[in-house]
Amino acid sequence: MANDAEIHDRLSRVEEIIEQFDADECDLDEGTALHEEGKELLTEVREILDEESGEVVEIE
Amino acid sequence: MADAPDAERQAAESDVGEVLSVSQLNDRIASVVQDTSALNGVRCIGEVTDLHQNSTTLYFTLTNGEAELPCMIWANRYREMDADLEDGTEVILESDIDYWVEGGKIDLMPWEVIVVGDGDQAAAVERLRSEPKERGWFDDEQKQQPPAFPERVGVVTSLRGDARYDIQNAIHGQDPTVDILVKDATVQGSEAPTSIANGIHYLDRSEDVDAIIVGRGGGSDSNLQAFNTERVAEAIFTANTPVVTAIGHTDDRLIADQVADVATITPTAAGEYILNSRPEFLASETEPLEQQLDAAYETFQQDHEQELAEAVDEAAAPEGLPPIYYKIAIVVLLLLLLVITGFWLGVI
Repeated sequence: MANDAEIHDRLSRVEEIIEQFDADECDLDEGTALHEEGKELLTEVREILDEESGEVVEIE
Repeated sequence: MADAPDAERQAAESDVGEVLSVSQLNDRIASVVQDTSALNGVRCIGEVTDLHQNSTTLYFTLTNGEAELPCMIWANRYREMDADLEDGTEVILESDIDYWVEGGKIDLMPWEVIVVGDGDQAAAVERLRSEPKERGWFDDEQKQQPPAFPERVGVVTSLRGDARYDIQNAIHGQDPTVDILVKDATVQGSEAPTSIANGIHYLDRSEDVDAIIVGRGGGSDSNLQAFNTERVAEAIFTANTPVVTAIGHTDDRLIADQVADVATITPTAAGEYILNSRPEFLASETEPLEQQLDAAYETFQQDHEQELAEAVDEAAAPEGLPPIYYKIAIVVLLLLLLVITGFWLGVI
């Protein structure tokens, strides 16, 4: 399966978190938790893109 | 008289084992071509393909669908001919055969060109093109966008051709984590349409193939005819997986290109198109988003820390009336004291 959805969903959530900060919709504790969540999501995106080397399979 | 052939045979036999330079062998082939009367002034009927011209020479390939011959006409001679050639024109050429010694290549060099009409092959392609067009196979609404981050890409091409390496290198240049499944196919000749179509069906049914590239490293128009067949067009159209063509040509679009979800000019271009560059994506998308997240959080934190500091000050203030009331009270008391002292001294 292509990774598009996994990557797209995570990046969208990070954008949502940024919007929440800009709109000042939460208190300091919630904001800290959201920031951690955003960092974690970006790490996951890097991990998805950094899996093992792909293989080449020949089919006669 | 009987001695002559024997002498020739003996001369030929004495040459067996002789090592010739490439030039010597080419000279020998050229003299055979020039001296063979059956190859002089031949008339040959076929269809013009791969027509191209520079300032001095017109080049094309003459084909009957099964075999082909390269042809060249000097531009000044062509201008004098009463013939307007284009791809698909059926012609009878009256021609000499030229062997280019340095390049080791045979060309037909026509001195007369008789135009017969549109070739069968060209007419067949036009007929075939009209059918899928009417069925809507070329419509943009039918196109699927290949995923930008595939895990596995299928490739239908010859295992022995350069195209497969061009595609593999381009894909892994963009993203080394992608798996590539290469399905061998015959990409020219009469077997090619079935072989290519079967390759597409096979990969379309394979689990986890996110996109299919169908390609070969170019070739003459007649070599690409498999990509102008209904069989290949139908296989591309009916595939559930997005199909990208990479047939390595720049001239008229092939039917396969028109049906495909994406048509690219070369195998390398297909490999590069089909997926995002991982480092580029990280640099252009992920890193800026992370900076944005950090900046937004910092601003948010500063705003909330100011609020927090005010709240702390407020909490630290003593309970009771605000200090101004105490100051006013002291002033009032002092004034009262002055008034009472004034009365007591009889000043007031």
